Amino acid sequence: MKLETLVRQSLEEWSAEAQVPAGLADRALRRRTRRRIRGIALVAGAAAAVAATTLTVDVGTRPAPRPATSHAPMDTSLHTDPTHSPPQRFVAAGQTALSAYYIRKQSSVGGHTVFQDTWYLYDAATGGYQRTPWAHLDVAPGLRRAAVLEGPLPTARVGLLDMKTQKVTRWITLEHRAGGLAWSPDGERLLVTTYGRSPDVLAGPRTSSRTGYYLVNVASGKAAFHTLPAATDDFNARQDLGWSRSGGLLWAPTSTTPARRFYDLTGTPQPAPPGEDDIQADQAGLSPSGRYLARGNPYAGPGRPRTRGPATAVEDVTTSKAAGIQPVEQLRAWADDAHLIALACDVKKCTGRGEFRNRLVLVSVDGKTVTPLTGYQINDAPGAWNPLFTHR
Amino acid sequence: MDAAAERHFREFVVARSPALMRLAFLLTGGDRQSAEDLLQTALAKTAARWRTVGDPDGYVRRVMYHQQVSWWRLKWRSRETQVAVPPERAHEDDTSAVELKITVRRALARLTPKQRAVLVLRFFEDLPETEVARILDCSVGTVRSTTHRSLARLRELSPELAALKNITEVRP
Repeated sequence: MKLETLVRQSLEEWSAEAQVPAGLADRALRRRTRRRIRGIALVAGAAAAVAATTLTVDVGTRPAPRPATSHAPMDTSLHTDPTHSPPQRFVAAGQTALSAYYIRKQSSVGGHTVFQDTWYLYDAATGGYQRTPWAHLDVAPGLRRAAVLEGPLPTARVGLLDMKTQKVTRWITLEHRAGGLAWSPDGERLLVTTYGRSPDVLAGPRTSSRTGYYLVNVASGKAAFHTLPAATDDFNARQDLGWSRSGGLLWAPTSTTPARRFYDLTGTPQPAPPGEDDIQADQAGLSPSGRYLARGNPYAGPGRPRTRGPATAVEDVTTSKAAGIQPVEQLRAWADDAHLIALACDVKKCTGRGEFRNRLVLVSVDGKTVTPLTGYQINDAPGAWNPLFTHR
Repeated sequence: MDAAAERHFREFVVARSPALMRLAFLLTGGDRQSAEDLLQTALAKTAARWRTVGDPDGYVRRVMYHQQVSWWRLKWRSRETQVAVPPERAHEDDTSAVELKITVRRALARLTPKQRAVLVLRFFEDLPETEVARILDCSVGTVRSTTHRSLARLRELSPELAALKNITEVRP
């Protein structure tokens, strides 16, 4: 086959993956109007021009910046790959995408359990997931870039990776060694958790070597270190820090209740924002609007009636009443205020070992609609994959 | 724009946006958000000149080609395609057609916007060199040399492609 023929066929097939976003005409007409407003404002005077420039910052000859809270409608189209596990094609629903996944290998070295993760990252060029050499990573909101760490952890530099080329475009060297990463909700700052030893070696209770964290301004590359040693009430070696929903506070995990302890950006303890203090790892938490809160099984606990199948609940925090019960095992991430990405077993085979045969689904808050997103896997078996969800 | 013109514009967008989005998607190397930005900007420009645009489809396409190349010229440093190490050469025996096409996609995504635009015009839009030259406001010789260099760059980025026949079709 000639290269030209191959290019021709590849372009044709690749173009079929393009999806038309909603409201294109509205957006175009709105930008045209803004452009006209700017023209009028420039004539009207300098003060008006300043205000209008603020309004029309995205009208120039460059691509519009796209923060997490973009006013332009984001792509919320549904992408599924229900026949593959792990997925081979891009998986996304509503505001959330499966941006990466990792497969964990467990071994024993010197009597200690050692975890080694292999990460697979979404590759826009192929529409699938590519194996990476990175020991740890996190994808920024918008799926345009990722932060990566080289093994063995902890490591002395953080890489900023362009998702389009899958290449590191910049390395940021750190004095304290990094083991964990979390992008801020606006995608402009990076929270780097630092450790003295590997966070993936279990050496026993209360042996976590967390030393603190860096706040990295991604645009300037400046990194400020703050001390925050490991919590004594968390038995995990990996105690990565995370961001509050607003990006104004940080949280550290605990092994108790509440599950998260909050700090301001300098590391001073702060009260938890409402609804954010008791969200376990991998739980969906508050919905995009903040009105609904994903909960666990409403029938669990002593004295409660047991159901035949799996169940989770969503609570309306404005009334403290249940908004719906879903036939799934775990609510992992919100797609929009009416749907969640969940881990679900086959309802008819979900007893005993069957509970570990599960897949990702999109479930409505009322529990009536369940759409498979990926194929099934035995998720406690060696080689099982674990998803990373990111705001699109 | 009066109500009737706005209705016509909306009908045009609904009817043509799938094809235009495919083009924007390819021009931006498969980056959905950049593709949306590109098409949205082109549609806004088209809406602003709706009364005077005779061939809106052609106008949007032309704006997208120029916009993509001018963004690249404006921001070439930050948009520079970075390639550290060529991908490993796959064993020819197990390189299926599907894998080859994925390889081509990856390589296309790493071309400069201008190189990609020329290949899209020639091999996706299937336009003759003279028409490509007219759209890009350059000479036929530039189109020919850019096409040749772009294909060579694909082979450089993906050694698997080097084994393919090196024949450039000549269209009048």
